[in-house]
Amino acid sequence: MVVKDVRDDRPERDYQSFNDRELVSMFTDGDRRAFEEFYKRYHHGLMRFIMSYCRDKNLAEDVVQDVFVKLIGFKVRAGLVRNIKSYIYASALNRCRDIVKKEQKNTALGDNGSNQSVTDDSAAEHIDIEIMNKNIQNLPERQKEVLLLRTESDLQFKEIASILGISENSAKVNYFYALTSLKKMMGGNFNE
Amino acid sequence: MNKYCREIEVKIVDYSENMLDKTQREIFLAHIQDCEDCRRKFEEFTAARDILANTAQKKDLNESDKDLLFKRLTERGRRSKIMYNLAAATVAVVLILVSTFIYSTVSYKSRLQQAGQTVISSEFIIDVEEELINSDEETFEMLSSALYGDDYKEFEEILDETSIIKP
Repeated sequence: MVVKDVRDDRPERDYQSFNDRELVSMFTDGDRRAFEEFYKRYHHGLMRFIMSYCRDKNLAEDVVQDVFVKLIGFKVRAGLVRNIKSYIYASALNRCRDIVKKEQKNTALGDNGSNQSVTDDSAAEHIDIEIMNKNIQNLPERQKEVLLLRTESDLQFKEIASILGISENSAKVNYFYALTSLKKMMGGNFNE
Repeated sequence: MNKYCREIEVKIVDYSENMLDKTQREIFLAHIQDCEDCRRKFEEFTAARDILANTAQKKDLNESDKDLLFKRLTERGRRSKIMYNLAAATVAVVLILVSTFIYSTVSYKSRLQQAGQTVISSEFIIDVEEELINSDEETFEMLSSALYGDDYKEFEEILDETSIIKP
């Protein structure tokens, strides 16, 4: 006798039509496809943002995992989080700030392990990226955050403003000065 | 510097991100042509943006940990669900205990209050009865009617039974 899996009778669900809250609730209950959809929506942008902020891939993976795990917490389940996207980016940002602060403390104590030098034999493009990354780290905190959220995660200014708790115009002004300052910092280092 | 120059940074970003409508774009471009300061800012920004676009970083993001992450999430989800249910059950038990306590306190208070009311009303009756005893017949009938309605005759009987002397 062939036992038919009852799950086969389930109608095909369009996971793209579910909102973030519904997806979180579904994958928490073990729905793999809901997780896939949520992952597709946020993982890439989050990873790019965190990697650019912390400049460490392993750390970025840890932060992303922690941020995803936080979604299962009480705040989200109880419906206290209005915007899941802002919430995950704000959580990631807070973690990144902590990591960078810790790193700066270590650097001040004489541990320069995280600083990477650019070798002479590197390709020109690689040098550009390295210098660019270094200079992004030297931007004022707010400018750096706005720039990375915009360029790495492709967030709208409205979303960035909500994550950082500033006005949309302030986000735009910070973006403007982040870019122009970056160009000034790069000086002649660019292969335009 | 005219009024339009204020927050020109916002307008430059809006223009670059295609966030201006047709009329706003025309006004912006006309201003940029006329105002040297704003034009310089616009050119600086555009150059910086192009440079950033050219050095767009290709980050190698593998998805090898996706399975692990899903496993971790569902495990945590199950655990937090158990904790959540436990917490809900605890809250329910506490609520039941608290409501039972409140109910018993309130019912005890209301019983006390009822007893208090009886005392007050009997005191009141005693006061009125004393006045009745000391009043003349006309007042007696008027007060008796007010107090006992048409059945005040019963009151007379009670007075007789309790051997209180009627005026």
